[in-house]
Amino acid sequence: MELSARDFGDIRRIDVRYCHAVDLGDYDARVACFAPDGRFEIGTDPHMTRRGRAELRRSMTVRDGKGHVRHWTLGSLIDADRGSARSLSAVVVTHDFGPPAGKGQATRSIVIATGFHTDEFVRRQGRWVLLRRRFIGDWGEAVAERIGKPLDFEPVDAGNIESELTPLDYEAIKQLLTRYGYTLDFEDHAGFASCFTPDGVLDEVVNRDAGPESRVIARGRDELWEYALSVSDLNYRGRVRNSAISPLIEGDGARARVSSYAFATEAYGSPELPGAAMARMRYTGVYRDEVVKVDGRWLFAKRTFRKDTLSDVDALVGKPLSLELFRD
Amino acid sequence: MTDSVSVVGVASDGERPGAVGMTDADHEEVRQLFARYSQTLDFGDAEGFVACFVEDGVLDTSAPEEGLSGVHRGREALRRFAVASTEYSAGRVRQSSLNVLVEGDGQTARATSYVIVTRAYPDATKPHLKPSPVTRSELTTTGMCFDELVKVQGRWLLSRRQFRHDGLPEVLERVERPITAGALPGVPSRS
Repeated sequence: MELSARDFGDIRRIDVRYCHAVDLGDYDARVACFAPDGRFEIGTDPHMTRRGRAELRRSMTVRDGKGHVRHWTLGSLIDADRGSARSLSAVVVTHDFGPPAGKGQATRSIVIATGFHTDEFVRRQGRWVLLRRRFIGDWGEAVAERIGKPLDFEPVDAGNIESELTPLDYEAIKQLLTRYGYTLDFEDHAGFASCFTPDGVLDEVVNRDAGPESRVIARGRDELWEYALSVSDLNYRGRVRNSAISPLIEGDGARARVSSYAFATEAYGSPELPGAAMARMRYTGVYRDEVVKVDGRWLFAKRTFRKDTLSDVDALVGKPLSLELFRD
Repeated sequence: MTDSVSVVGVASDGERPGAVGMTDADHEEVRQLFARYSQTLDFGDAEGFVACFVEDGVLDTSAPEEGLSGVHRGREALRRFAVASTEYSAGRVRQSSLNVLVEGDGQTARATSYVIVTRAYPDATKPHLKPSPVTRSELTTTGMCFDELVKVQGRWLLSRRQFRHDGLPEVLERVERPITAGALPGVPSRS
């Protein structure tokens, strides 16, 4: 079974409704995201599992967060699974501190946790619903267990329409951005290299005014594999999460340009103090990509990245927005 | 953009009866509009930002900074807002809409989304950070956008956007009420 653009859209909308319902305390809407026999789990603790709509309904409260907690889905991989579907979604959780202390101040928010939703979906009475949702924190063993293993989600087959970008093309391109981050973070070096065409190029500058050593140019899959290996040598062990958000996509069904924001977080590990933050922002930046469709699969022909505050990014300010790649 | 019209409101828009007519392409074009809004504003493309709105579009924001707060109605006011925003952010602020909830009939739509705002610093300007060539970014604030949209000549545009920081009473009033796309009737305009 292949998922259609409508299937992908419906599944993503369940996740959106779930986040809104949980954060704003719409208990019925949250429960309605699940099948009658659906279940929600946190980590691997069997005591944190809720089965069926009645248990799900009773377990839900926003009293702890008082409407100040937000769950953000940064990216999702979705594929079919024997008549059902599944997804792996990176999640960041934030908390705001309420009304500002003084005039001229905005409310402040912090990152308090990062992790994943691993989901199973089934179609019941013509609509997709969650059969199982499990939240795993980036600090836990469940994330560490994925390190070094091939990412077992199939890329989207976007078909062969070349005249224009279809909804399936947008879905496939967004999943490519997500796949890039997951394969890097989970140290799937071959999976990372396969996000690119055979002669694909990664060009990134990460440090400010630090000379040529701050620049990485990897050409072709062998060099891209080595780049991924060099990142795993930093020993983040799944605690750093690289995401690309706000993707703006222009092109046709054969070739497109993408501008997106890098949003990188780092998990600390379980807090010793209840309620303390378990993660923080690491950096932001700008991706400018050229992507091409090869046999129905979107791939990076060239990915350029610059961290925010670097001169290439500052040079974009005050000019008409274009999706040009960063140049030498 | 190739697409088919949704005929199953339940399947395409959750559980809200009558929410038919939004195609997959419509949903994606609304998300692309929001990405364009963010990137034109963050990179100081005032004309591109203004083009995200209809002619008499309205932006109503809880941003406290002078020149940014309050209601900005019409293209000239929106242009001034974009210029003021660029002066304030200096190209170092990133604001993204995520968790975009959209309902509509294919010609008009309402949306509610989360907005996450970060600011990047070269280390020299942040004394609590160790000197390093590595730039840092911080989450500064979060909020929600409540939007009204209209399709004009095949393009989705914002007719009204309300932004409220998380933690403000207008956002907290939504807690334990049914989630919905767009502004609640009870959320007052700041005009």
